[in-house]
Amino acid sequence: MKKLLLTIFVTLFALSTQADLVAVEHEHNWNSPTGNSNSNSGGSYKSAVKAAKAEQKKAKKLGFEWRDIGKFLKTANKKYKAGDVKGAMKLVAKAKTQAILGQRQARDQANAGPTRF
Amino acid sequence: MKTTKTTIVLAALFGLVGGMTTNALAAQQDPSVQADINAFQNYFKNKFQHLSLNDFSKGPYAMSEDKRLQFDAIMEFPPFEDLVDKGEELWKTPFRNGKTYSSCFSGSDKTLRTAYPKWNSAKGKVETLEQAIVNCRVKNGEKKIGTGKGKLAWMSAYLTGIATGEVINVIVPKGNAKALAAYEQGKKEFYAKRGQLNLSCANCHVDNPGQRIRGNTLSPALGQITHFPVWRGKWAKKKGDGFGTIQRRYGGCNKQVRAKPRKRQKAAYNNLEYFHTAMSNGMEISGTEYRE
Repeated sequence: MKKLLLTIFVTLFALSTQADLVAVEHEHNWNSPTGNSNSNSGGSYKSAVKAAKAEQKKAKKLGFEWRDIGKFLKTANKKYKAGDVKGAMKLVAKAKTQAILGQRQARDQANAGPTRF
Repeated sequence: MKTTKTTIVLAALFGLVGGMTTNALAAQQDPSVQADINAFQNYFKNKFQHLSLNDFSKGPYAMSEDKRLQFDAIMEFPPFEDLVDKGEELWKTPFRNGKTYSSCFSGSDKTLRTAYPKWNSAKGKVETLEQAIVNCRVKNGEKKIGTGKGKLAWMSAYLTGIATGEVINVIVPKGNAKALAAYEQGKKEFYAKRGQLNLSCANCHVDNPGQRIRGNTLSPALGQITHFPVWRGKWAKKKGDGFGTIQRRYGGCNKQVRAKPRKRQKAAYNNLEYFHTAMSNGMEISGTEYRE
C-alpha cells in the first residue's frame, strides 16, 4: 500500500511538473499580434525594426535616403501582423541594408562635381 | 532731320545706359560662378554644334526632327492655355486687403521670372519665385497654397508666359560667402549620385542628353529651366491638371532613380534651382511649354 501511494505521488508530481513546462512554452504572448508566436521572434522583430529605423534616420539626415525604405518597413509591419514573421524580417533586413548603402553613397558623393569639364 | 539726329542720340544714350546696366549686373556675378557657367555652356555647345544657345530650351525636341514636329503640332493649340488664363486672373485678382501680388515685387511683372531664384540677403537664403508668391499671400493675410501644382503653378506659368524672350540673369553676388555656399550646395546636389540606381542629375542631363531612356529622349540640362512650369502629358493623365513647377519635376527625377524626394521650397531644392537656373544665364525664357 505504501509502495502504491508513493508511486501515485511520484507520478502526479512528474505530470504536474511537465504540465508547468508545457504551460510556459505555450504561454500567450500579448506582444505578438497572433498571440501564439514565441516571445523571442516578437522581440527580435521589434529590435530589427528599431535598428533599421535608426539606419534610415542616419541616411535621411545625410540626405541620401532611398525611396523604398519606408515602403519596405510598412509592408513588413503588415506581414508581421498577418503572422508572416519570416517575410517581415526579410523586408526589414532589406530596408536596413538600403539605409546603410544610402549612408555609404553619401560618403562616396561627398566631393561630387563635374567630370566632363 | 533734327528728329532723326535726336533719335540716334537718344538710342546711343539708352544703349550706353543699357550696356552699363548689363556690365554692372555681370560684375556682380561671383567669378567662380561665371567660370562654371562658361564651362557648362561651352560643353553643350561643343557637344551639339548644330544648335544655338536658345535651341537648347526645346530640350528633347531639339535633339530629334520627328519629335520637334510633334511638339510644334501640340504647341499650335496648347492644351494648357485656359489654365494659364486662370493663372493671369488669379495674379491680377486683389487680395481681401485690396493689394495685388504685383505689390509684393519691385519692377515689372514681365521680368520677374528672369530674376528668380535669387539670394535674399535679409533671410540669408535662396528664394524662388514660387516661394516669393506664397510669402506674398501670407504677408497679405491669405492662406498658403501648394507649391508643386495647381493655382501656384498656373500663376507661375502666366509669369513665364509674359517673360517670353526675356533673358535669364541669376546672380550669385560676388563676395557673398553665404550665397556662394548655397550655390555650391546646389551644384553638389546636381552632381551627386543618389538613390538605388546610383544616378545623378548630371548622369542623365549632362553625360547623356539626346540618348534614349526607354521610350523617352533625355533633355540637356542647359535650358531646362527656360520653360517651367511645364504642362506634361504624364501629369495630366495622373491626378492634377498637367501643370507642375520645376521642383515638382526634381521630385519626380529623384523618385525615378529610387531616391526619396526632398521637400519642396526647402534649402536642398532651392539651392539646386539656384545652380540649375544660373547655368542657363543668358538664355531667353521660351514661355510655358508642353512636355511628354
